[in-house]
Amino acid sequence: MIMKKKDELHDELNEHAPFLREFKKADDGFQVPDGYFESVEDSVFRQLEAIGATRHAPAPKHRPSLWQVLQSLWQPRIALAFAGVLAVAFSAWWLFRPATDGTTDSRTHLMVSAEDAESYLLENPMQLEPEDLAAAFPEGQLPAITLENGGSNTPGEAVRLAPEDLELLLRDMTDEELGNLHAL
Amino acid sequence: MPPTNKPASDEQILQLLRSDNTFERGFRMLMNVYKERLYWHIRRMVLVHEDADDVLQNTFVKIYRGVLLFEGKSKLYTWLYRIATNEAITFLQNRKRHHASAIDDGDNGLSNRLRADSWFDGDAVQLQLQEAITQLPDKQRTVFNLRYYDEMPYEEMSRVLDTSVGALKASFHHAAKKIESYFRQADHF
Repeated sequence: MIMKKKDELHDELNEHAPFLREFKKADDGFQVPDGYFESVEDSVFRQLEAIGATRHAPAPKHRPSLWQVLQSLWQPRIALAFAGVLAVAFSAWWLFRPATDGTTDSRTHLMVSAEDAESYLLENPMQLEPEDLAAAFPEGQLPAITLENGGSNTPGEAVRLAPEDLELLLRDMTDEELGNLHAL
Repeated sequence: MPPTNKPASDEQILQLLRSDNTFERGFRMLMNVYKERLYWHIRRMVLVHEDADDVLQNTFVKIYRGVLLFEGKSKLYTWLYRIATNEAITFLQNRKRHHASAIDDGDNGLSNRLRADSWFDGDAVQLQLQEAITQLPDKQRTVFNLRYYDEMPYEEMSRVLDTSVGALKASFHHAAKKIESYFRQADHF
């Protein structure tokens, strides 16, 4: 093995720097004081004692506990990011949560039954435009409007009022409304 | 362990180092096995005996502090060479910084110190070879010394210096050419 190493170096020097191969045969001229190597150990230990050198012990190899993993994760950056995610999630829940007052969420109307809607329309016909009323009911299915005196009518049929009802109605009307009747 | 002339193996040394009771014996054994190889590696880097002695002492202090952290992924002597090389290069860089404002630069200062070193008795050619080596950059000088003097295989050198084998071969080749050029300029051929 050593011979092989020497041969490799010999070939390398022959190829790249033959003159260096010749130099290698001679002594390089470096010397040490007599007994130097015998004193190295004691000299090193004296220095270690003088500087109070301590050994670095390897860290114990064990699996970190769940608490240690959580502690390592609990860094300020990670905590801030976690708080940010929580804030975004809470905001999303707040914006899209089910409405409780029934005034802003359109889905509230979906919860009103068809019967309730029909009742509302029939009880408050004057609050709706004729187009809205027509759109609310399929063509031909417009229900009869029951008036306070128990009468009813169907689409296209003239409203017939009892004379006393008509008198009450005329009495409640303002002068302007009476004028409008004449205009009709 | 009975006294024997056979050098202790790395495994024996590491076994002793693992116990507090036998640590000192193991560390003495480590120094006994590796002190000469490490010394000559350091000496060829820093050239002067007193400097080499200082760097060797610091190297062993570093090894003492960190040997329990050695995981055995590489050979022990590879790890020791790496520490010694780093210590030697750090020493040379510190001295270059210290001499930066001086008249002569660090490399000439190094060869001057070698001339004055009473523990160097090489002839003119040997002195010139060392002067040529000091002209190399620190890393290239390390590669040259490890290959030329220590005859370290490139694969092991690769682990010591964390450099690819191809880069190390190219570095050695360039170093040899620079040294040859240095000698040509001095009319030695």
